[in-house]
Amino acid sequence: MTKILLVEDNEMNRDMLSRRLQRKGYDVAMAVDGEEGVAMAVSEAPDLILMDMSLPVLNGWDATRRIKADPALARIPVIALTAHAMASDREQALAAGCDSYETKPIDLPQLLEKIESLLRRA
Amino acid sequence: MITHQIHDPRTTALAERVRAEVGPTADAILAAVAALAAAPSAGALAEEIHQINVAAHLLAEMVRTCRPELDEGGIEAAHSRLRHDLRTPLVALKGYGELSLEVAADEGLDDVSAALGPLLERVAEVMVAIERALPATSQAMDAEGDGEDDCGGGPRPVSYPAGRVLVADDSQANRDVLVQYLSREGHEVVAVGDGLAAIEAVFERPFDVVLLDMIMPGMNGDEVLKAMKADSRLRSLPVIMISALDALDSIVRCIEAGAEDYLAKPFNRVLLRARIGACLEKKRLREIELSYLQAVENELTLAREVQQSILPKAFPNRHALAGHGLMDPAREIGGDFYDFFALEGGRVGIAVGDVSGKGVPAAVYMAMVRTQLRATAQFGLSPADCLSRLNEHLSADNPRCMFVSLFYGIIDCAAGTFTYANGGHNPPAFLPAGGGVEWIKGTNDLLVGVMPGMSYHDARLTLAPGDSLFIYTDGVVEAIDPAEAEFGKQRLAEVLAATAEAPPAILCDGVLAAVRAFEAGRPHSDDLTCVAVRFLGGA
Repeated sequence: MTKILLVEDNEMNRDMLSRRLQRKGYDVAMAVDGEEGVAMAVSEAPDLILMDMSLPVLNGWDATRRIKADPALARIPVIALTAHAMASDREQALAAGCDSYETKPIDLPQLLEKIESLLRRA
Repeated sequence: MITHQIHDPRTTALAERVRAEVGPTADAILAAVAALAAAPSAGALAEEIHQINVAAHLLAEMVRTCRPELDEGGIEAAHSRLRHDLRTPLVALKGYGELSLEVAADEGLDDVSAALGPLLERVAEVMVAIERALPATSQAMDAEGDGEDDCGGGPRPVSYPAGRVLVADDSQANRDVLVQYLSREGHEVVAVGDGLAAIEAVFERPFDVVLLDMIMPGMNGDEVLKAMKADSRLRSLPVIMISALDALDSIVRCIEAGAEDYLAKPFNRVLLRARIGACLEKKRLREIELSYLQAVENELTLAREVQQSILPKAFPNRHALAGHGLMDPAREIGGDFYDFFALEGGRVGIAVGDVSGKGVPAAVYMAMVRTQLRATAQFGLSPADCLSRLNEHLSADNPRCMFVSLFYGIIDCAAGTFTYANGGHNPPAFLPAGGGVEWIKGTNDLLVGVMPGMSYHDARLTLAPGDSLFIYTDGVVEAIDPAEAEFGKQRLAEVLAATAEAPPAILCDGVLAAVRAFEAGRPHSDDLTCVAVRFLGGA
């Protein structure tokens, strides 16, 4: 089963998105801040990471940079999730090494499309 | 960051706009949530509906109490913060709303599903309302936004022509985004999901631009591109490749293979708009150019017909005289003409002229010169008097400052004389019966039609039987070879010397053939005219 690591500090968002992903048949692991996200990228060996950008302790950009700098983790696709809808956010996310980008509120069919396309490529 | 709170009339206006634009929809969401909570099976989704209810109240409260603050980031940063804040409750509204709809559908909670429909519609509306109230001033917006108003903020976007666009992408989401966006721009959009369908579509109906995803099942975008570029009918149809940003190598290969441009995923609306627009604009300009060229071509054909129609069909029938003329027009009409006409007393008038300028004006002016010359010549005037009178007529009313170089002579067969005047024309060649080539001497006065009051002078040659005259325009001597060298008088003299004995028609053809050989297949840059006349004498 495909395992997705969801890194999201907001409990409500985490609950909602994880349940929707589970309903679609994914195994979902959850981390609540960037530091935990990086640690779980190692321990859980997910197939893909959904990374909120505004996270406590270690923000999403820095967490992504760390993941992408680690040769053992770099191949895991990371999709950035941000509440902003500014082009600069997307550029920052891509610059940090994210493979794709979604704005909140999430459009689930579109997110699923991106997840599947990244998994196919990986 | 230290925030300087500044009271600014712009923030008050902004708050009012948010309340006016977003307030009604936020209230409508509250009503929809109340209806949802009242659904008989709402209890099965109590937790989700509770979250939705909290978010709906939060949104309504935020809109009501909205107090934007200005800091050093200015109004743009204030927009951005407010957009961010207002979208936060939407995350829960949309997320839990859609989640509940999925659950309700699975569990057959039809009443809940029925109440969720209108709620989710209101949520979509409120997202649009937020964009309207707080237009993103950032130049590039994400394609997945919901109905951003592109006219907001910065400069008004350039308007592009609408066109027929084919979208080939295997991702339904990408297709939806592109179709929705391009349709809204006024384009007619057809979307297909794989390469073969794209090939079928482009062969089946006309398009103005094709968007091709690079990676597709069955037949990839680059293969579709190759197939299109290999077909003569489709070669000029512009193709924009869609590709992930990291696939630069393959993008470069596609552009080398003839793709017009590329678009990176995720789509940037502004770039998409600009690239499609640029393609369509380029295509439109190409079409305008073609139709304009067609119009010019038609006009030139007409001018050429005018030019040809006024040339004499045959040399006047005189026992003592043989003559021939030819005019080989340049692609762009140069305004050459020649004329032969019978005069009283068995005399024959011979004229060769070259009108200034090119194209239709030159052809019309030439027709006028020819008509006036013929009319003037009938008064029994000498060539010089004839040119003087013609010069007065032409220069009197000449707003376009046109003129003509004109050689006009009269052969008197009985007297065996050739009397001529020259208005700025190349001196003709005299080919005596015994052989040799001489350039006619004597008068060379000013071009005809430039200014009034000019005087022209007659000169006279005595002709012996067998003597010939060769009159030509600068198209002969100024013809150039591929190395840009001029044909020149020396070459002309050599050709004339070699063919001097031949009948006038052969003489003219010989010169034309020599010039053509010299030009080595390139078209004349100017009209080329040759007139040869031989005095046979006696009879």
